[in-house]
Amino acid sequence: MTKWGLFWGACLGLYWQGMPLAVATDASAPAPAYLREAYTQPLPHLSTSELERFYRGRQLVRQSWVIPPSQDSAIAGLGPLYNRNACIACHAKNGRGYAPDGPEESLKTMLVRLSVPGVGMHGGPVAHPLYGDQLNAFGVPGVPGEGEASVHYSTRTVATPLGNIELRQPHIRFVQPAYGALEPLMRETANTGANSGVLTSARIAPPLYGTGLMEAIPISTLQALAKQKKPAGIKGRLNTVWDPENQRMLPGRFGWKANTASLRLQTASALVGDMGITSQVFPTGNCGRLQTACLNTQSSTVELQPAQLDDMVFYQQALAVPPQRNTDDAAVIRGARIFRRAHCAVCHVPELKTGRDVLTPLTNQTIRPYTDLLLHDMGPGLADHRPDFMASGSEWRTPPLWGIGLARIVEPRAGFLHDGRARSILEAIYWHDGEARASRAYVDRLQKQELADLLAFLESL
Amino acid sequence: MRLIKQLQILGRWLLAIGIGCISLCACAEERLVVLTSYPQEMVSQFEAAFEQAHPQYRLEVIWRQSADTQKLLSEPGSGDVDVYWSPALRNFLQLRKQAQLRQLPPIDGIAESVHGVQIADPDHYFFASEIAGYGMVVNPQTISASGLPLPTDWQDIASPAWAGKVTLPIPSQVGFAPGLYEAILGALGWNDGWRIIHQMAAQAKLATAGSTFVTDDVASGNFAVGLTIDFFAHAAIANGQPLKFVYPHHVGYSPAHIGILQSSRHVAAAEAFVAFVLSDAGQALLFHPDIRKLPVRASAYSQAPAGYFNPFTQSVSTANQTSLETLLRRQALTSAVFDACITRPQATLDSMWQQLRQAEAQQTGASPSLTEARALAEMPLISEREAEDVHLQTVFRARRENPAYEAETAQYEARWNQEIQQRHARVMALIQQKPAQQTEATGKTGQLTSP
Ligand code: HEC
Ligand code: HEC
Repeated sequence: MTKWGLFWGACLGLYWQGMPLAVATDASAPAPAYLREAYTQPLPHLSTSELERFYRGRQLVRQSWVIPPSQDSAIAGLGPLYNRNACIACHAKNGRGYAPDGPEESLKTMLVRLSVPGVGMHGGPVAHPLYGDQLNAFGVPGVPGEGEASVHYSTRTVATPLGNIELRQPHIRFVQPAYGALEPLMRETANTGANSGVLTSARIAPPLYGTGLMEAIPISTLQALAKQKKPAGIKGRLNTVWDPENQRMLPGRFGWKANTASLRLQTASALVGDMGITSQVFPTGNCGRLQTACLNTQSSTVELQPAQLDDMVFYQQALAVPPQRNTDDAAVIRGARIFRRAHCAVCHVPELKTGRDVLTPLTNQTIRPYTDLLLHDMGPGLADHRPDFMASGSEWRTPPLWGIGLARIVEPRAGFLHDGRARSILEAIYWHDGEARASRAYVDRLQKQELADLLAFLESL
Repeated sequence: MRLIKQLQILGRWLLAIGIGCISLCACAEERLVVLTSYPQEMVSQFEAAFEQAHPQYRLEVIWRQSADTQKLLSEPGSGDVDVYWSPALRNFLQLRKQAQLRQLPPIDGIAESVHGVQIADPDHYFFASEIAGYGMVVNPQTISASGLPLPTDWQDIASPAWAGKVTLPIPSQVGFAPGLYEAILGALGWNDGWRIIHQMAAQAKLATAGSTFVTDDVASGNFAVGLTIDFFAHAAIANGQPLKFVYPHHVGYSPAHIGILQSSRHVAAAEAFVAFVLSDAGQALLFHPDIRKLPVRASAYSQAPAGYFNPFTQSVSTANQTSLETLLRRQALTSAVFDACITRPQATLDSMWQQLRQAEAQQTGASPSLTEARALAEMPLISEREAEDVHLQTVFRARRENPAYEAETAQYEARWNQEIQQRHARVMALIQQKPAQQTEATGKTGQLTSP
């Protein structure tokens, strides 16, 4: 069987095991076409009925949702306010999004969280009194969209052994806010540390694959990771967030600040927050208290069927993680060693075990996510100054690095770090600060070849 | 304490609303609403590229299934929609009839017909924005493993050698499929077309508008061939699936269109979008691995990836699709006929064909009863003359909108069901006749008397 046939043996349960692990490292050779679908494959060993469910969920995650009223009631419910009309508009091919390159470009795969200073119910952020907790650019007919955010950059050049790179720091401005000024005190909210006005946090869409496995990591493992004594001034703690469905506090796992406890809550909150679709988890929609046109348009019945939410969650749970490639490559092996020596692996924990899960293929698995799911202070350069439950304005969840080497094959513009400011993995590394300062300092001392090896390792993931 | 602080903050924001309202009006960018039924992969590419070419306009894409657009567009102001852009010819014809579309100036270099098949409105109320061709997605590995040759035309997959290896879309359920069967009927003629469709269906699995992709089903080896539309297959191939797409000798095309609503208040922006979609740059986006549709601008093919199908130079299309209306007029009726003779009786069909073929395989000499059985099994449910009946076409096309039509179609369907049942019974009877006599004659003489 050819490598293509093996790769597409997905439906036969052969997937990934048969994946060709040696992919040409020659940068000039085009990447094999099948890698564009690397984030859309089901876990191996799903039963026929599980696969059917996976496909149903896929259809809904790929679905472009419809503004009601519509004769397609099963897929109607978009709005009154929304950002995009499909999950995959932001998570293209289940991958990550990107930041606009300048103020002319709209936010296509990115959103801006909003709040005002203070601590809200259950310790979460206090929603903006007019705009709620997220800026929604679009409204259905009769409901004005909230306005747009534009991204401006200030840049600085950093010399690296591999040549100069430009680091760009984003600043968010609001264009034509439709429901009154967002920011009465300052016209511009750079992520500059001022804590008196509106708090904003621009975030690109992270990838969706592997989230089921991340969810299956036992809480006790995460708690142990948090307690563990770590080198080089590295700390790390769990976020604790509100589960509105079961009215309880839980450890946070999802989102750039681990501000969401489960895939179910993350999916339901994306539906309501990004698309205005209500579910039994969030039955009341996303209109602000003072947005009357929105409130008058909001459907009084829940728009998503419970089974639809279940299927969407199942689909994401059952998405496989692409295996590492080029593991025998000398540069990759050397790079992995540097990754450990630079203490990257203290936060980006290479290996974890999952516990019991409802889904057999997720149960008791040894996984290589390169994350501890903990919050780390990453320094002022990356700070958004917007606390999110336990996470401070400069703390971020360690993002998993599995599959990251394929990000730009799946989406050529894929961005890195929470706001997509980094256009390459190298840029992302040079933004590390705070608890990762020693790591960063280690990287600063690397020779050209060593840095290239580190990148070769990350690209192999 | 916390409450007081929150109230203070709220007060400050309320004050801000007053100030904010003053600046509400001047819009930085002109908003442009495009209604479409295209998948997000395609929308994303055009959105990003259009915005880059025209940063002064803010594109808002509204999505709806083609069957779900009439109501929105018939609202006053056409639901704020400026541009309609979809593979939904019926809607464009309807909008044009209702004088809801703006006449557009001619655009150079954009095809209005392909090999004599008209694809754009002759009066330029809407343009073709891309085309797609019908054919077969095949898994070359599965096919060669079963020792079969790669098919090159529809007839090739009709023989019993392909039993269990073919998947066919149900035209009343799968959006693109009515045009596919019309393409077969157009290429082979009504009688031969139905003969081939019956033979294919006899051994195929019917695909509904379910959640699996035909390309997955064929790539996984569950089937060797699927009847489909080219871009599904080509996008899957561009994403690494081990598939090939076969265009039959006579390609049937399905055009998609773009037009500006009469009620648009953003005509300049709308015209910019239409011009962009039809420009070289816009047409080249169709080559994107997740899109893979056929440009209507011949010059765009110079940028096409190697091996890209070019309808302007490569293949002629079915001769009888001459006007836009003929592309559609019969589709609903044909789909209803398909349901009556294939979808609904599927279970009995399978065993009937199996027995017929078995009997034929065992047959040693001429068997008039088997010949008759086969002719009956392959015969179109209605004749070509009936299929051309304008009234019959109309009642099936407009059944959803008109209760009287619905009642009439229900009557037809009841009659057809009965007819098919009788036909099957007769075919079975004809098959039964044979073995009885053959066993007695031990099959040696081959002298069978027909009833
Ligand atoms: C407007 C763009 C946008 C849309 C539409 C969108 N997302 Fe997201 N998604 C994001 C962003 C941004 C984040 C990070 C949120 C945060 O950090 O608070 C995210 C986070 C996630 C995560 C967490 C991943 C992780 O590793 O933590 C999941 C899962 C997810 N989204 C699923 C979905 C689903 C399912 C849909 C459709 C129902 C959807 N998203 C729609 C932008 C979007
Ligand atoms: C103290 C914990 C910590 C250490 C040590 C650390 N990282 Fe990170 N890393 C993070 C966090 C947290 C982020 C996300 C920051 C953000 O989004 O603003 C991150 C982001 C990244 C990203 C971008 C991921 C994405 O999804 O966009 C890469 C790549 C990365 N780190 C590589 C490294 C490498 C290589 C090292 C060692 C040189 C390293 N990290 C050391 C915590 C750490």
